[in-house]
Amino acid sequence: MRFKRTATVAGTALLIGGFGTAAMAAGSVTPNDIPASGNAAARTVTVAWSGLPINTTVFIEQCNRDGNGVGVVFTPLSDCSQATYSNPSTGPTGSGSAQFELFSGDDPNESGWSCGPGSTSAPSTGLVYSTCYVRLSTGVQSNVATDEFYPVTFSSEPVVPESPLNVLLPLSAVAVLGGGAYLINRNRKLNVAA
Amino acid sequence: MNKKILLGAIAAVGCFASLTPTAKADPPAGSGWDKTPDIAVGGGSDTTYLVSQRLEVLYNGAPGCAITSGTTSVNKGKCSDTGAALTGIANGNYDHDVLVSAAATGSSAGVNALLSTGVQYNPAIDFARSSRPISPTEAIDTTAWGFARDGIAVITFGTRTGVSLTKQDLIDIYTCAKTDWSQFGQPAGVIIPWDMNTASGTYASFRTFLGNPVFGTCVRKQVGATNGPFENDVKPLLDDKGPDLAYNTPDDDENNYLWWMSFGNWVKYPFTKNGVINGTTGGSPGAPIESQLVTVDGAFPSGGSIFNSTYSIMRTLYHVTRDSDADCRQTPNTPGPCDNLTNAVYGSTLGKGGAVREFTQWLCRSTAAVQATNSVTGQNYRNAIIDAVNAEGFQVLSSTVAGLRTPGYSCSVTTE
Repeated sequence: MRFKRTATVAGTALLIGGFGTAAMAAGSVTPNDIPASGNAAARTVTVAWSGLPINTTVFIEQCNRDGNGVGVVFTPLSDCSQATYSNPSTGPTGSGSAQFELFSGDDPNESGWSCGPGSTSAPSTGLVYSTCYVRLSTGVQSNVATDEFYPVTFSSEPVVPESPLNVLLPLSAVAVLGGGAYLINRNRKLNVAA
Repeated sequence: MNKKILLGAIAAVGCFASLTPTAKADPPAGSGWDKTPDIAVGGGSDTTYLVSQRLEVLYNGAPGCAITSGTTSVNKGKCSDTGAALTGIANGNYDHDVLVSAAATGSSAGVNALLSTGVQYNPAIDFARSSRPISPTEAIDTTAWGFARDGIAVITFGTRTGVSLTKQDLIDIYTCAKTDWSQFGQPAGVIIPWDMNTASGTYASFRTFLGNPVFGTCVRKQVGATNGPFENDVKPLLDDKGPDLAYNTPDDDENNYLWWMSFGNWVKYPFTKNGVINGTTGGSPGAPIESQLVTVDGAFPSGGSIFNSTYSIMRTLYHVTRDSDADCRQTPNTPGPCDNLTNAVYGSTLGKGGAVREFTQWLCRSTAAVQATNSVTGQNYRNAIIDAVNAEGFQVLSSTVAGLRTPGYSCSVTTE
């Protein structure tokens, strides 16, 4: 069984220890809650790391699952978007950070899955994930021995209820006119009675 | 009145029925299928050798016609069709053609073999692999189908990390106008810029980016060599002792080397991008040493920057065909821009040429909706093609980058 570590609160996760000599000591993704409203412009987040081997490549990519799935084999090539990954150097100290662009909606790589609701017009496999993951792996992209995952939530943007003006306006008009007519009639009756 | 309407409707249905696919001639009209499996061979580029092999394996296994399988039949392996009716799907590999890649000799050598004035390859090839665009002269005889994108990674080695250069810096270095790392905000050291095999598309792509300057005498070739080292493998550079023929002297200090290579190769194959100081063949191997990406014009190559075309040194990878075999012109091998209808490819209707035509169409279909499904894995071939391209570190041509694809295709097509 392969153990994977997934930060539960990605923005402030502090991950200590590991299962391999090249395991990461700490990492974070900020922010980790992305408003999702279909296919939208890329959202830039900051990915930070420390405790990595120096001057080596760290792959940063957006995936639809982490490596903890039961009964499924995590495959970076198909479970992570290959059209958006970044590959900065870990730097001379093994600590650093980089800006990373998350996509919201359809994977640009035509894979058929999306983070948050995708396009309704594009062919889709119906694989919509409200939580996706930023994956960090060092050395080579296929390194699944010491990779780490940071969840990112693609939450629905606050729904602002629209005013049904086409209904409210006529009703209001009817109410005003009806009220006016009632008052006029009542005054007439009162005048007649007097 | 009702009788007239009825007769008219029957006539109209009859007219439409005559246009339906079931009325096609045998074999499927307007295709490269001839119901016989052919073997077509490709050759040329080193950079695209492995991705071509992946694509060919996918295509060779794509579904097609029902096959004659009688043990003693002289037609075994051929389609069993006896009439106009198809016995399988026509957007896979109907004839069950077999495509295969010959060993790499460089893009130019491959494309040359397809020209009417060219010299044929060994073995003889039917299509070419190229990591550079075809020239106007080459386009007279051939059509280039760009199916993937790659970046040219500029690299340093070892402790020379975090290097950021502009296009002008690279020109200054390769023309030997600037020769020390201290001129670029780095710790001092004499820059050792390395040359490359001039027949390679990777060489052509880099020099084109620089504006085709004449490389200066400071640009290094291996000791005794008249041409630069073969592309995409740093080991020959690490092996080299330099002009003084001795290891561990300033003229072979790997920390001062500068070179370039395919990003796809760099990102997928650590064995070719890294090595050991002094190499392993000269009897003096040192510590492991890794190559480092250089930032060019403010960006470094990555999957994202290549897919969205924001990296500076980009190139397209091509599948090249003879015009008579596969063309985007409805009348193949005639001058003019592509006039294809949807994703149709025009050309040969039989034999190896027909096989090349159908492979080309399979490779360049624009969406999953018009592509077949792998009958074993259940994966749509559009996605399988993308996976194959990505597996070699390349990107497919994005539909969201303006002008990248030729309308109707997922490819960028260059024709006469």
